[in-house]
Amino acid sequence: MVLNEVLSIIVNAFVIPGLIFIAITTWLTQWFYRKIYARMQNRIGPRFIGPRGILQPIADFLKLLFKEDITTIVAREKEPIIMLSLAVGSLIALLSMLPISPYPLYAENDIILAIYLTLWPPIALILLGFMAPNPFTAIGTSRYMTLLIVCEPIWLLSILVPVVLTTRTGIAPAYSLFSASMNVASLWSNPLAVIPLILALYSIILAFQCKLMLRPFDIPEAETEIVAGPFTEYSGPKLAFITLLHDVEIVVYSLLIVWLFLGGPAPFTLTSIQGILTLIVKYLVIVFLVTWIKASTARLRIEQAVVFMIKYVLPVSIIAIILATIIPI
Amino acid sequence: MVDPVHHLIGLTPPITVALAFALPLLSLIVKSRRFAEVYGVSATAIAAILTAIAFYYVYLVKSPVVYTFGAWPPPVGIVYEVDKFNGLLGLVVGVVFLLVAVYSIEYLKHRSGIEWYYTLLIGMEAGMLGVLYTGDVFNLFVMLEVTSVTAYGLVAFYRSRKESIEAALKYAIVGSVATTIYFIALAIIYGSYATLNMAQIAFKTMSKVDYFFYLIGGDRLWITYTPMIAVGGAAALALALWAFSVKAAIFPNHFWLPDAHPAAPSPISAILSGLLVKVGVYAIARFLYTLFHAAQPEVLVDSALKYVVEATLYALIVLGALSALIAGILMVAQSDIKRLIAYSTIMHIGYIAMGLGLATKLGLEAAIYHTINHAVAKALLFLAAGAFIHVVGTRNIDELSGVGRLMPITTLTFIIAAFSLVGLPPFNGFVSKYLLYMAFIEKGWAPLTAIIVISSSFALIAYVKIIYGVWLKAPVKELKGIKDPSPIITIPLLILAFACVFLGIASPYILDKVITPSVVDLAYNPLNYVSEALKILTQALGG
Amino acid sequence: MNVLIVMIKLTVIMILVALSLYSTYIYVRKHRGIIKAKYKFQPYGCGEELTREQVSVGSRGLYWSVVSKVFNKLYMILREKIHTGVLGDWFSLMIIFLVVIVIVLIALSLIGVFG
Repeated sequence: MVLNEVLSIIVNAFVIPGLIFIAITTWLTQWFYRKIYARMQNRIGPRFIGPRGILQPIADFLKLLFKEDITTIVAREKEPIIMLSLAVGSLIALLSMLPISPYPLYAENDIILAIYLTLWPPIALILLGFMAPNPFTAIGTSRYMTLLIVCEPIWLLSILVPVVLTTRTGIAPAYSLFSASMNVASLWSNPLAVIPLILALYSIILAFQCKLMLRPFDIPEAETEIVAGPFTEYSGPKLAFITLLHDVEIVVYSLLIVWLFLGGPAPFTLTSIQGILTLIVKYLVIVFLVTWIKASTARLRIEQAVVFMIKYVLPVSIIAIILATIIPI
Repeated sequence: MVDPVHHLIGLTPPITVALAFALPLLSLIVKSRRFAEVYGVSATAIAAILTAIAFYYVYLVKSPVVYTFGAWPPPVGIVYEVDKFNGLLGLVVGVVFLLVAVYSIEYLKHRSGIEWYYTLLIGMEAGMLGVLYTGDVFNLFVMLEVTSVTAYGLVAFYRSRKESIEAALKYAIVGSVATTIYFIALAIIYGSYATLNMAQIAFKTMSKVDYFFYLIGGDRLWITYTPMIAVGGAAALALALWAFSVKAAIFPNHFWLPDAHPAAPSPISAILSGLLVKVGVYAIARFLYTLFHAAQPEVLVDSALKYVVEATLYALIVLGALSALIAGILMVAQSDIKRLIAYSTIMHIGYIAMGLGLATKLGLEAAIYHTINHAVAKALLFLAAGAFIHVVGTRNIDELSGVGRLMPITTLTFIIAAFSLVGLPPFNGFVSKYLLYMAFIEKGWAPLTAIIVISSSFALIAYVKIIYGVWLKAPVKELKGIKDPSPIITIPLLILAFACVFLGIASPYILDKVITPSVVDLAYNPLNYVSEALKILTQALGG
Repeated sequence: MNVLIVMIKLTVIMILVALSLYSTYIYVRKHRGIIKAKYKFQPYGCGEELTREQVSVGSRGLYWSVVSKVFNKLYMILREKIHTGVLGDWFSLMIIFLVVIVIVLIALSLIGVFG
């Protein structure tokens, strides 16, 4: 019994959806979006290492990892890595609550836990920015914090929409990420439930863009303006960990959206070949969508971004959650 | 035969009062600073042991415990009635006061008048325990005044500073207006219900029979029940809750707090923010849930009171939400470390008020657990900030820059407290916030969770501002000779930090064994509360 | 399963992963000796020299200017109309609230009694 628990925790932490799984997915995802991002900009993208440059992300990571570790005289030395590792750990913990894990951890009302786990990466990035004092990091981090104030409530409300809807259909355990992901597919056949789902999908993708500092919300790390924002002072292994966290965030949040909104492998099951293919296709569509928005927009100013989120996204998510609580199911 | 433990429990506040007033007299004889310090710590230790006994007794032996002063039965004499709810809060009060008394030895070692400080401190503890343990609404008024008057005095402890005197005066004026309004409410309660005993009022809002007359005259002497009693009840509830919302600093009655809490010495700020506002919360919960049965409005005898109670609950939710949002916005704008933490208190009281306003079991659990978690974490935050202030001598965040690098223990405890209040798992603040979210979602008010998220993100960036200021920022001037303060300060910090982690990790057990029973005692078992007190009346009448 | 037990398990997973990543970093650091070149360790300032005072930002200029641009009206109302610090202003607000709550609750009870 105890052995089983320990085994499940170790599998979750290190195999699936732990480090091994996440390493492979992150590598392939990074290659994929670099490639399509390059195509959208009329470039070729990674090319030389491996067939079609598929090994390029690994090469980049290893190169950065073994570079010189420079810490300025006013900066913290090891704390940035502690915060980054905790953030990656929290994302893997989030994945082990999804049905993708062989031993999914779930309970009644665990959705708030899942949402709070996604709070670790922003906190890590904020502290990271402040751990290397510099005018550029201070400006970038304070912009990121401003964005977070408007982006967090949207994130919460849109995640709640499918969970509230599936719970209202009477499945157990109630308000759980796992059961919502398993049962959300049946909601897409209900024309009334589709409306809040689509509204929530719209707002969560914009909140995703905002949380990850992708264009048009790349204001915190605005390259041509404030060097690299919170990451100005970082190089070598620390930069490697930062890119790792960024890519893991893309993978985990895309998987979260795929499972929670699109039902994962539905209409098949995860154990069949078709199911796995469907899951991969849906995942690639979400990654493509995010990259597409990134490639086709220009950077907003910070107050424009905040006003945009307050005017055009927050009300949508509020309407979605109100609809989700009142429509007849 | 009364169980001797009952005497100990009932006499906790009077013993503490006696200890408080003995100190100035004794310090006339023993003119030693060390004596006042040892006396202060031992008096709070005695109170802590007594509250622990009360906690142990009500949880494991019998709840509620009723103690009659001078053996006068309830409607005639004053009773103290301890159930699981106030027993729990009493334990928190006892423990935090003990830690603060220890901390104060080092913090105030360069100040004179230490004997007066400890007199007021012990007096405030006595008043708080009295408010918590009393079973009589008039005694609650008296004890509230004891607490408030000592608090006004302690806010003005730095009597050479202008802002302390100003804050204490403002606090005193606002606070005494509030207690006066509560006194008017008492007059109305006595006029409507003809009693000041809590158990009897709780019984009269449930049934048309006056228990006292019922006992002495069988079924002959029914009182003439008029529906207009409900109007009196409504007026009393309105006035009393207004007065308590001043004590609890719920919007729009929160103005005194951001001035008063930073002006006091840091250990006193910890008590004011951690515990004193909770006394107001306790009184609101007791009035709404035990006296007026807000969790089960169907037992109310009068349908008129049902509307009143429901309106009050909605008002609590709206005001709690406004408190949280406004405090969140103003919190980020502060550059005084203690003022920033004081605004955070308003925010968390807003959360507790929202939990109380939900009137569901989950909402009440969230409110009570958050009361305790906030008491522990906020006391820790103020004490850690006080350690910075003690070492460096300024409250301005900019002047504290880089200090945290040289004070690792203080910084670590500060960060634990800040993360706990922001609500990161696995700290204790997360658990109670989680319960609050689920209470909202369960009630079908999921959109309101956005308020908690928005205010929590404001709180996050405000705390990051302090963490950046004291720990991560490059030191502006040469910092020499700055190191962690002596163990007298750091040991209370470490104990509270451990409590933050423990209350988070052990939360399944604590919720099951401690919080849920206290919610049941508070709101879902009114007959138990009533019958324990009235049994004594029956025995006194020889029935 | 209790959700709080799930929380503890997730925390264990999180800390396990974090520990393994952190030990990777420590291994990498040990593996290659750190070169101490003095000029590299100055804060980056686009070619400008940065003094210690210039490196950090004061708490007032941190992000409040950005927020006050967006929420300017709300903040001004809060600061100028409500949180004035004048005792008389607070009292007017508090007394208005008291009158409202008393009138509303008594009216509700009267509706309950006679309606």
